[in-house]
Amino acid sequence: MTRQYSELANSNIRFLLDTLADKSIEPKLYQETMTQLGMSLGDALLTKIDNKQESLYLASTVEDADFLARGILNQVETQLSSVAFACFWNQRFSPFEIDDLQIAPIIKKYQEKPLGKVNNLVVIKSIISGACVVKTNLINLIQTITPEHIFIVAPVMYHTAQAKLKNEFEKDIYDKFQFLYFAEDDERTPEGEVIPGIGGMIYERLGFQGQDDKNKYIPAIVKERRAQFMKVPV
Amino acid sequence: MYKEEQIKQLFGDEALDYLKNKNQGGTSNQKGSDYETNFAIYQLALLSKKVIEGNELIKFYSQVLGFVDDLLIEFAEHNTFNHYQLKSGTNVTWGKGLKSIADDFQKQQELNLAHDKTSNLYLVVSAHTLCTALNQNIPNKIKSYSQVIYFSSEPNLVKIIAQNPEFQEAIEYLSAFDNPTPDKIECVVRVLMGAWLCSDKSGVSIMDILNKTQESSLSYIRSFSQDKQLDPDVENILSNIDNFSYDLTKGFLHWNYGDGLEEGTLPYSIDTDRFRKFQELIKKNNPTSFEQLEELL
Repeated sequence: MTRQYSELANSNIRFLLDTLADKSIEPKLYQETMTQLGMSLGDALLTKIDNKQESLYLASTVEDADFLARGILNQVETQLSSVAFACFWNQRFSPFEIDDLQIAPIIKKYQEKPLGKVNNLVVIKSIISGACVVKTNLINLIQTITPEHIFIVAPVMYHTAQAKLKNEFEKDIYDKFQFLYFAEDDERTPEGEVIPGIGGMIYERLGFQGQDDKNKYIPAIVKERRAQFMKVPV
Repeated sequence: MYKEEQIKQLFGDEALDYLKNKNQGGTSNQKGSDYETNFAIYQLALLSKKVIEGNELIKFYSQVLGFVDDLLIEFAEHNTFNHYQLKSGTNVTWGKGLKSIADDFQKQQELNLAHDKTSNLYLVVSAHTLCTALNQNIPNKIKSYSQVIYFSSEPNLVKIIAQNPEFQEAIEYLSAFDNPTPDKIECVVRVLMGAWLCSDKSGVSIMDILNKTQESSLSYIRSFSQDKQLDPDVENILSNIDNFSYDLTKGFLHWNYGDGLEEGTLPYSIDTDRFRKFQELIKKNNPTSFEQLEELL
């Protein structure tokens, strides 16, 4: 097992990553830690965007929305003039239990309309391993959005994830990729858990009772943001 | 399918031994043969509409004991066999004598005539120039029932679909959506592939494969039953929710809130027990706003 930290991972971030990897901590602390890591990733993103008049479009999965995504939004919304948000509910499964066929179709999505051109598309996930979900959501996003830059952002990535994701796209798209992460791990169990990764399977660590449960969840951040557009009470 | 004794009578011991070895090799290589699997899915998709709307009996065989054996499609009502030999390499020739493609095609035709079957024999290659050259040089003795067709060797079927309008149209027909996004196209293809890989490939009907897809936890493959309607009480409840719209396309409930701000499709069709439970829940909870409804979607 080898963990490679990126140049972004200072001692505070390493402490937060160790907290995630600690399987004994409760979901509440795990959620807070994920939010703090989101804030750090938001700060890292801001260093990559010189012109603060540029727009940013943040896309998250439902399980990460209230924690990792909220952390990033907290940082970028105060600094950038235009920030929009999308949330995806994916159902990941392998048809007939054939691993090679794994897919993650979108069963539901919340997608704000961008105000004008999107300069920076940011796809975040708590961990990128097989890259199946990130690939699916990114392909969906670029059906309607043509960003100048695409940031693929996660606290932890599996060491083959970047190459695997690039392989799914044509050159004109992957040339726009920039990967932002704090640590890269090279061990994965046969069940697909990256070691130490983010300390196990994300749904359970965040307090969900598996995939069906997380797909019934409506993130508070979706309710709050939606209310601004629809002018209904939260 | 074809009997060893008959092959021996028609073509002799040497030809039978050759076929047995060829069949054994094909069967053992089957797992890794993506080109063959992708081509089978392509044919399955193209023919599904005939089966769903015309109730036609069409059966698929792979690696049967025969001379042109990668894929055999039987059109039972037309007494016709379409045979496909797939070659994804670039060094392909018709050749001469025993074990050549030309000889295999000729013998396959003879074998089918002995079974009173009409034959269409296809050599499938993965390069356009090779396809053209081989088509121009089909040996005269097999010309009347043989042709060469192109199929891409790109391993990612979704990419093949994007380049092939006929394939795209066939997958869109099978999809639960009128204009499926790439993730929904991928879902149909992978579920179809899973059902094919799990099927007994010695004469499985397309309808059996399509029915098998419905065993998948999620397929986003259209309902095969026609004219199923929502419960009128459910319709009434959903119609009264502000900024909410829905439609029941191809047996799936597609919904939209706030002019595209939020949208989704139930992952199960109107044919399922889950859908019945969903309708019961709607009636029981009687939501009057999207906020009350969304947890049930």
